[in-house]
Amino acid sequence: MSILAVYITDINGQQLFEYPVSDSPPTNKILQVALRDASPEDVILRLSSDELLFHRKQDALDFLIPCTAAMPALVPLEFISHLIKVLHDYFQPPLSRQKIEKNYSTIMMLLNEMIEDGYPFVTEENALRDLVPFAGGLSKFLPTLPKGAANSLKSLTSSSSSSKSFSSDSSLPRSNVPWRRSNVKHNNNELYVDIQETLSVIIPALSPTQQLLNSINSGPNPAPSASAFYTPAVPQVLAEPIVAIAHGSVLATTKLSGVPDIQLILSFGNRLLEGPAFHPCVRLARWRERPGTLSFIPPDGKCCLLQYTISGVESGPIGGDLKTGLGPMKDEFEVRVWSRVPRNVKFVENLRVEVVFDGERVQNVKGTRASSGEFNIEKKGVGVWRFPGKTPMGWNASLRGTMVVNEDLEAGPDGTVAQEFPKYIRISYDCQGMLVSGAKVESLRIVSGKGLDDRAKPYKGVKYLTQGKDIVIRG
Amino acid sequence: MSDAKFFAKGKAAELRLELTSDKKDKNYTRRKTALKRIVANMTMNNNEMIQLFPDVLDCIKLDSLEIKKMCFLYLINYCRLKPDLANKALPVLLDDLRDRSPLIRALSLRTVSCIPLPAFNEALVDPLSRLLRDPDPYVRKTAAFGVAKLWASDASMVEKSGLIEGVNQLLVDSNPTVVSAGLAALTDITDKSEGMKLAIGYQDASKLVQILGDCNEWSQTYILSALMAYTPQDPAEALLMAERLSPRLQHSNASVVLGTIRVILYLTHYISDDSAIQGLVKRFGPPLVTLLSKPHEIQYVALRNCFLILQQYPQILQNDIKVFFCKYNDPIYIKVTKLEIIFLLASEDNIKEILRELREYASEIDVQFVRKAVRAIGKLAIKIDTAARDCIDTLLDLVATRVSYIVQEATVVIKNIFRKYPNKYESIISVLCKNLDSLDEPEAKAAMVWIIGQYADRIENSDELLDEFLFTFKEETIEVQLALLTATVKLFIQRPAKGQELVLQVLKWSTEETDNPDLRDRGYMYWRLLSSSSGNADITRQVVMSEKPAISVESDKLDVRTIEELSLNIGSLSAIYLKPVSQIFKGTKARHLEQSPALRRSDSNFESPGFYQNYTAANYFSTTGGDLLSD
Repeated sequence: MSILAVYITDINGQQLFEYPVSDSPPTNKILQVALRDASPEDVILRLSSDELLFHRKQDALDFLIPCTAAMPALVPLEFISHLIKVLHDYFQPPLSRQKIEKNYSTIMMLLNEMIEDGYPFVTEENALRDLVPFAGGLSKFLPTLPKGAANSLKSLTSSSSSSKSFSSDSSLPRSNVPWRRSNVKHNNNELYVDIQETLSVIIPALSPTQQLLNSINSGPNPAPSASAFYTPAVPQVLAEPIVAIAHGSVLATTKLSGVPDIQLILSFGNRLLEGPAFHPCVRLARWRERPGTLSFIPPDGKCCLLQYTISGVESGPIGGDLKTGLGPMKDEFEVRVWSRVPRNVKFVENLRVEVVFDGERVQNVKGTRASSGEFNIEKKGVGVWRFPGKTPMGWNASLRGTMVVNEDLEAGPDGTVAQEFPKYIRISYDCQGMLVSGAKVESLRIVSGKGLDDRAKPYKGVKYLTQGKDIVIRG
Repeated sequence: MSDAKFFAKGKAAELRLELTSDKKDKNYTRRKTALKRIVANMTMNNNEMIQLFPDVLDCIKLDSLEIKKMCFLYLINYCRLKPDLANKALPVLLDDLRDRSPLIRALSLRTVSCIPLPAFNEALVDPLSRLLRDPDPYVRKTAAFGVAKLWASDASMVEKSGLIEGVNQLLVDSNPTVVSAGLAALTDITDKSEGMKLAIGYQDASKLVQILGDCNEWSQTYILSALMAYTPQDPAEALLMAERLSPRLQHSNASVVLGTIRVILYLTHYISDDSAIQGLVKRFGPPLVTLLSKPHEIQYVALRNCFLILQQYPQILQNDIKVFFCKYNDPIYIKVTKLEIIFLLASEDNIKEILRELREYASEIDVQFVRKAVRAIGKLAIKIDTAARDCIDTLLDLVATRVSYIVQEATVVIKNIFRKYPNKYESIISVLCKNLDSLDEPEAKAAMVWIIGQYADRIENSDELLDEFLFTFKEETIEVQLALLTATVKLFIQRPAKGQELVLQVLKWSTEETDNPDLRDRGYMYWRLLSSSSGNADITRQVVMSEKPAISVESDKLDVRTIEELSLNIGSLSAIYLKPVSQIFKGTKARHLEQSPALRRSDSNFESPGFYQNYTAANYFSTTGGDLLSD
């Protein structure tokens, strides 16, 4: 089982980078032909009876990895994820054609370390920084680099200029912390924790009874429902979410000298953490003894300590609904969104509501009236209603309109063409300062910091972010 | 064209000047930049840079790791095109194998082993056995891979050299990364070798599991692959091993998670305690759910494997069915796999919730997905007897939308429901008959025609309906023509007076006016049957209206052996194609369970609770636009 080559192309398939691993790997030309003939559902392409192609798009680039057939399918896919992470670490996201071309030889050397005998080998950014100098077209990006990275850069480039200075280096860590660079030094010791949750919710359409109740209750200025966030003046019935899942990540950014040993205690209320997945640095035994305890020696820089899933969470700070068949002609729809009164946040950002309809049947949307924000049809079948900047809490907005049905459509058996309405709305936003699951950091302690100044108080605090990503409301 | 060529030549010449100039070059900055440009321009399709071979070779000796790295990349890239020149670099490389710096030793070792030239292969044998015992672990691990690469170029030379023994020694190395590299090299060699096989005893396996936690994620995947070569001799031993592996299920790398699942599933074949097995497989659920937050491509592979695991152990996610509910913006390949899993996990307990959800999918925009959702509803009626009524109501609700493709899909599945439950739901025929105009696809037409023929005596105007279909007989596809022929004969048998005229007409068309041998044969058969048994209508009836074998989704089961082999391939493409890898790709060794006193016999597995529901279908196979959930 082995990786045959790594190609990076632009989105049109034009080759920007190639790294052959085997003697005669399939060329990008062959891969492009295979991709052109493939249907969108071919995630993994069979090139021949013993070759496969794995591919993934990222930042307007396409990463292509042809492999031999016996490769476990997730190895190349995870490898692409790691490669993207490493390239982001070296060259800052988003990646671009220019960055790839400028840093061609660095990427070449990175891959030379990352793949050994056709198989992923070292993909930890920390380990790679010890092996591949952070140079080349870097100066151009230097101003955007964090301080720590620039420091480590200096020490690396100076050591790479002469073989004598690294002759004593052991390149494979002898210790049991293979993820940490040796001899880390920082002038300003800093440690940040970020916890991010992405929220996925599916809210079903209201049942006829619920709709009836709403039509009785709704006044001229409809108000959102009762929830933990809000007690509305006019009680209103909302459909219960079918699915409400938060996928969380606990990220640590450590710029600490020496070998710091850290204990981070998290609390998740009474919620059940499903399938926590840990960074190798986290001591699993401690977590098992006392769930919520992350005990670890971190890699230098940024790392994801823990990923988790919690289902059955609340539906988040932003709510919405979709009504159809309104107005004198019963041909109008109304989308409403509102923010609930918060526990401890003042606003959400980048609020965006996608209105999804059947692009084949609907020609246009007419007579749109939005109480605020801006609504535009952005592509076939999708209208986007945007609220740039910050949206305060305890706020609401509505959008009305009528879908114009395509005139070419055949009439149904009763001789008329059915009126079309939006099928779904999808809400997305960023909300700083809260986690929808209620998770939080209870304490953080540097248990021992070999090589770290005793007086240092590096822990700078924690940031919470909830990203509403797929809040889907069915019509 | 000539312009471009000249320009290209100019570029190579310019770079040569940069490399060879006598001007001062502090820290080799100028040459580094030139080499960077050379490396960037060196592609397989662009052989222009090959002109610089001698100049690049000169740089190898320079005292800079970065320069060496680039020169070596150049060498590996062009060595096959210029073997003579490449051979000149060999002495420098061999020198570097004795360098003080472990990084340089490892780098030159990797380079030499990557160059598939006989001179390089032969020169590497002696230093390799020394480097396998190098004081630096990075060099030792590189040496292990070097042996595997050398073996791939010249197996007999390596086998004679004792190098494989040397790699074997690495399995007791103090550094976990070196152990895993040694294991990876041995796995690589034995996978390709005819004669050699990897076999790991309990002590070694136990040690491997112990060092797992100290290895990086890729080393873990190596070790997990290699653990499949361990054959437990005792059930308790297998259970202990599985228990010790299960913390790996919490790794953030999805291939480690699936690799762990594969080994644990493998070990369950050697564990005797059923409740212990249930306890182990229950732990798969949460990590599988977590994989659903990964990028779509990883999610897809995870879902396909999930589907395969659930074939054996549906109980592990029976209560989590909601996590498989589709969002409209999931890519179609994810939606379809989720739909298959929902179908697999459907039971009497959750059927109402599932039907509500499928009803929702049936009103989606994506036609392909809508069709599959409608089919799934029909198949659920067949899978769960007690839910048949609810499924049919949902289907009728969908037929009422009068959307052509929904009506057609519904017609096809309702035909199957009639076959599964004869004389139970025929009251809905009249609803279908109202929608005949919507049918324009052969499969749906054939299904409707079958229904009319089968129930000709209950449908008041069956002769008129058939007559209408027969109007376009000659333009129909063969599938519809055959259905029409049989249905007309059935009509005649059940209602001779009304069918007489039609049957004569159809038999004439089928026997005299068609080029299709199947249609003609069937036409003649009916003709003879009807004319010879004219005195005995019962015989004809028995033949034409004979009882059909019952249909069920059970008949789609994969056999136990296949499931067993598939489960040994969790994480590979087997899960996507639902075929053992050895059947999909040439040159892949089939996996099977090694004999041992602890091995459970497959048929006893079959009776164990884990195997009670093995729904799958040959037609699940095609996930790429195939006719999923069809019959």
